[in-house]
Amino acid sequence: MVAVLHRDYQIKALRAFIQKDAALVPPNMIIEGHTCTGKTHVLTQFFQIHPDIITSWVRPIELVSWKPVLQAVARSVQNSLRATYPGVQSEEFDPLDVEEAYLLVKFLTNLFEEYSSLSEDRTLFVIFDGLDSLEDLDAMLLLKFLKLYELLPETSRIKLKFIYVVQNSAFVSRYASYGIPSIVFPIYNIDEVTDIIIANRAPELWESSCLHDQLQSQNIVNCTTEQLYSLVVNFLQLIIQSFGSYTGNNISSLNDFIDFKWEDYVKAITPQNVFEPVQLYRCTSKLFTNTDDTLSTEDENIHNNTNDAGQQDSNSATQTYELSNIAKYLLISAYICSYMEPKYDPSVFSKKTHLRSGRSAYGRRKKKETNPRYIQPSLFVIERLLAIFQSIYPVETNSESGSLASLKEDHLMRSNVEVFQNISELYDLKLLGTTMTKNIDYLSFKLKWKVNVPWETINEIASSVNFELGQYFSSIHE
Amino acid sequence: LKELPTDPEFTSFKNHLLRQLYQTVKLDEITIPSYLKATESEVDRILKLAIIQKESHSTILVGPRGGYKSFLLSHTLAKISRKYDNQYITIRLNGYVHSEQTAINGIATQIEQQLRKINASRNNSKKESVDISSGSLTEVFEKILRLLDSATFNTERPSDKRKNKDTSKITVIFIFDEIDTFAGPVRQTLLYNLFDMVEHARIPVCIFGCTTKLNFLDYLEKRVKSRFSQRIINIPQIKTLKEFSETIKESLIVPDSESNAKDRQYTTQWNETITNIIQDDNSQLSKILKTNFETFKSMDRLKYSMVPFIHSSPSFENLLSELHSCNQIIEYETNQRTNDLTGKVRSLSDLELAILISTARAAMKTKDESVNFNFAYAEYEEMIKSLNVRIPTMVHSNSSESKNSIIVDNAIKLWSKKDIKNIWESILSLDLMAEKGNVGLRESAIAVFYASNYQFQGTMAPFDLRLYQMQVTLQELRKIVPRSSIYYPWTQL
Repeated sequence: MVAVLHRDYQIKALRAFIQKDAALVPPNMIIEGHTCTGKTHVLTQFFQIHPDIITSWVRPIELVSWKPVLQAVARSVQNSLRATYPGVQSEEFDPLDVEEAYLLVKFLTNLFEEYSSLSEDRTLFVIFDGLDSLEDLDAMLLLKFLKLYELLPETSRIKLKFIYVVQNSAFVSRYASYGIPSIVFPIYNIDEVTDIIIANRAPELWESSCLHDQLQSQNIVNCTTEQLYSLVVNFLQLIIQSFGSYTGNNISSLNDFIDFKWEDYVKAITPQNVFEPVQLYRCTSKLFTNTDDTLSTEDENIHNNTNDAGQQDSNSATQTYELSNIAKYLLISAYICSYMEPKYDPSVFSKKTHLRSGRSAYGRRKKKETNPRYIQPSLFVIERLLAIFQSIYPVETNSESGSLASLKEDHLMRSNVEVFQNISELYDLKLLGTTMTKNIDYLSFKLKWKVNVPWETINEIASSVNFELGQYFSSIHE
Repeated sequence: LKELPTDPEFTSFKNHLLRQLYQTVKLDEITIPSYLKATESEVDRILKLAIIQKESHSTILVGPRGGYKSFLLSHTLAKISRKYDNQYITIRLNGYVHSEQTAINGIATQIEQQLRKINASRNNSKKESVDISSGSLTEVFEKILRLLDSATFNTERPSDKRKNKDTSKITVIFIFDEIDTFAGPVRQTLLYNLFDMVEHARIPVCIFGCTTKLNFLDYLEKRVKSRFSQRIINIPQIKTLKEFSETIKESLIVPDSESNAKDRQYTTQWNETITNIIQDDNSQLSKILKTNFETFKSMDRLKYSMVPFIHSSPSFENLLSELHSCNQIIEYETNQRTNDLTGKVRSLSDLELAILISTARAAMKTKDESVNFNFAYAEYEEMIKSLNVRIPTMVHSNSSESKNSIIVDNAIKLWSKKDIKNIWESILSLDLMAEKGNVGLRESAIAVFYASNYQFQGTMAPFDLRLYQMQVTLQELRKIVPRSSIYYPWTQL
């Protein structure tokens, strides 16, 4: 049996509320606590040392909707009864018949009747492990189970009791007036997390093959067990100290970091630093300063390159999106449309010399207080997108300037078939959005568009085509 | 985790006490709170009229949750059933479990089961096999109506004649929990038919409905209302502290009876102690009673808070001393509160707290108090930068060639935007923030179904542009965050 740390009160309370004698048990009970607070662990340990209590576990997270939950209750109750009393000749009922809440009552009534020949009353605990992680959860579902015991026959030998394991405290407080006893599992504090992690992980890491291989390859043989143990504990503490604030008091994410960094840490062990924690930390300090919590190597590179900018050029070759050039410029102009006001467009984009009289736009007088990039994109009409696209899209002229051929050539990009194709493709890729309606009519004049990428992405796209997007926004806020 | 040492007599005393708290003691030993005595006799009277005199009635019990509505009904029924077991059948329906459609099937199944049981106990040959619950919904409903409504009930009669001398009919008692769910805005067919039976049927039908809605009569349609006998029993409430502590005393005092004769040595002492402690206004228990009375006024909560210490006491002396100190009751109450907003904020790591504070600051600055990741990160960045500027021990090594090599040792680390996303999500999962315009938990399964087929705007938007609202404001944070925290000065704009 694994020791349970820092859950003394909870175990005491569990022992008081969960008993063999059905008369000493409340019909419903809630176990409440955030993720990684040891709810399921404590419960399983508890029932392991009380094998005389019949349990059946239901995991709503796998069951998605209310109907499978009802069927799972029926199935698991029947299964655990059959497993406990193999001697009782009982008819097998089909749990898939349970299609309504009252059919569950009927099913259980019929099932318990088969066991009416038992010599003593037995308590059966149905444990909903994570009731609020049910995908299609609604407020009525818990109420159905809360009142179930009133509808079951009082005379039956099997007494059904329900334990709900719930993460969300807001969910529990909806049912506060029903007077259900609850045991709260609070979030561990950092000391408790340290204790638990050291107790659970140290033996495992200590025996890990990569550590022993490394020690052998480095020819470190004069190692006592205590020294090895302190090496492991030191590593665990380093991980907790450097990433504790990043993960919060979440044991499973810390465990991920441990698994993720342990091998690299072990590789740095040499005969010189094996007994010198400080030196070993210096060799491996990179492991403890970066989370490396990503799957793309590119992100990692950028992260590393913040101190030496020389390498950046080689990385810009790999881009976030492999879009066509037109699509990239379309996306950039969509971003401009969404985040710059239309009334300043003439002052920003107008380049033509004026043949007719008229003053040009003055532009923005005062800078904005909030950075527009932080707020949600605003809507624009498609014509504005095409206009800005035309004004920013570079068209290289092949012909010599002044020649006759140059008269025939367009100096501006026209909205040809490819442009519209690319727009609709960007919409399908969810990089452009529209006002949400079903069955959108693209050709309708009412339809408005918006961009659906954050600044980081668009900036990367812009730099891949050497477009200085930042300049357009520097005059607005920064 | 080892079991407690056991003194068999003390254990049986403890178990008796616990049973009393759960109200699972034997029928005669159940104590009904004295403020409910009048109501109980009223319920008793109506039930006896229905079962013995064979009169038809309909009654609604109105009271808050945990107000002993179902308890009174089942307790009284259980008492009556000892004498008149075969005189009636009970049909229990629950508005949560049964819908209008399924209630019909529910009634049919229960009638069938109950009649079978009565027939079996009268050990007559199973010649009349009651087959009600099979067939289509309309068939079932017709069968129930015919059975309850008309004289075709004589399938039951001959058996009555043979066994009992008088030819009394069997009373059908309906107990509706949450009857207001059947009194929905459309049709109310079930209630109409059942209330109609009370008026016209030839067999006695008695309907009890339990509801928490004070304006239950307004739910009913005109035709349904006119068939209802207008009898509403309001469950009385505890009004004074004295009444409250009196009720608690009643439920804790162990009555002298044969069943617990062997632990009598404990009983008298226990009862004495309880009486003394509750009478003493300065005792810890009285204080707890008073707090409970002024906040929850919930008997259930108080009882459940007593369970752990009664169960875990190794000896009688220990039990009494616990009763004096009430440490474990307080422990229970503390535990109930560890998961509230304050507890959650206290459990945050320093980085999480920094993000939470900067989010709250960013939310304060916007017009509609909504905030997205970008704003929160900008605020965080600004906060950390100005914190680091103020830290005196930090030395800028501007003299040397490397500008970007700051001495990090004394500075507070500024985490990258990518890393903060993890923090953002964990704050979200702790319910300290909620998506703007989020409906949350739906009321019914139908609403969930509609919602799951609808794609929300929020899920379409990129991560850092989604709008959120804070569940805890900056002013509240200022009260929770300890003054010693470096982020405390930032809990104010």
